[in-house]
Amino acid sequence: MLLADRAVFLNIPFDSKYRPLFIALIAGLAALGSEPHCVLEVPSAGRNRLDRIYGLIESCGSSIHDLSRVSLSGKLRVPRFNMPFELGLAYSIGRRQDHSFFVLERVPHRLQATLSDLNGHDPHIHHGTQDGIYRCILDCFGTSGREPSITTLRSLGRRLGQVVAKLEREQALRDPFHPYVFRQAVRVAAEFAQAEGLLRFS
Amino acid sequence: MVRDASTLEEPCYHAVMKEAAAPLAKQPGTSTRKARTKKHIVTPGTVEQISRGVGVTKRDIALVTKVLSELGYVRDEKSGAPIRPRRGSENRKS
Repeated sequence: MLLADRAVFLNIPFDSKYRPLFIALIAGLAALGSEPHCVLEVPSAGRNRLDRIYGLIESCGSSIHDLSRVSLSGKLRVPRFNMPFELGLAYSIGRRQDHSFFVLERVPHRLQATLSDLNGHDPHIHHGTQDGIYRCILDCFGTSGREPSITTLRSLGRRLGQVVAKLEREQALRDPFHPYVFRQAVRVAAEFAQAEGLLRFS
Repeated sequence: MVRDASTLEEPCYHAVMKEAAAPLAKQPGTSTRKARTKKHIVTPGTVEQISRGVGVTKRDIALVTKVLSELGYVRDEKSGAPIRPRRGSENRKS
């Protein structure tokens, strides 16, 4: 059973351009002592995938939805609807239980054009940078422990990026969007956060 | 004639509009803009709790430890010097 208040569901694009921001999200969230989760934990070929995704979001006390990828993709050049759909699930969960959801965007005011139903919910703009992600995390989340500074988050993110690159090489992978690299990255980020005195020792 | 917009029942597109929120907004320390985000407060977990939560395996931990030590992040507690594993030591039988 997950402890809901520290479990954060990440609804993010899995593409190579997003890699630095993915690293920044894991580093930033681990620095606050939270527990990042994402859809990589749900087998893509399994039955009841949607139920399992819903269950995963439901078990988290909060979620982050980065809707900065609005491009067409794949051979058919179509937009992918998974991420806005998962945001809809989170919204619905938030209506009936304690669940905070935060929307991230790269470009200011664009969400009003792409998802006008969400007008009234200000997205957090990261401008496609790691620093932007750290600011968004510090805007959205607080901790009952020691609050990290943006300088600490930068340092954690830089070191995590280096370790994740080596973990990818060790496992002959070209990107970190795999369940085991995700788990390993969370472990490394938590260890770095502990070394910085942000997490208590068990 | 200037009418108070807040007392109008019909839309006041053609009337000179007063700011309905003015009396509140002019009080010192008040703002017309609502707080942007309510922060979600996290009770921080330990490394072990977080690892368990995301399903980190013993194999993951072994690989992470190896990589951290190869990159010089595992340090000797007394000397502070990085502890690096010897090349090929992970394949050697003890």
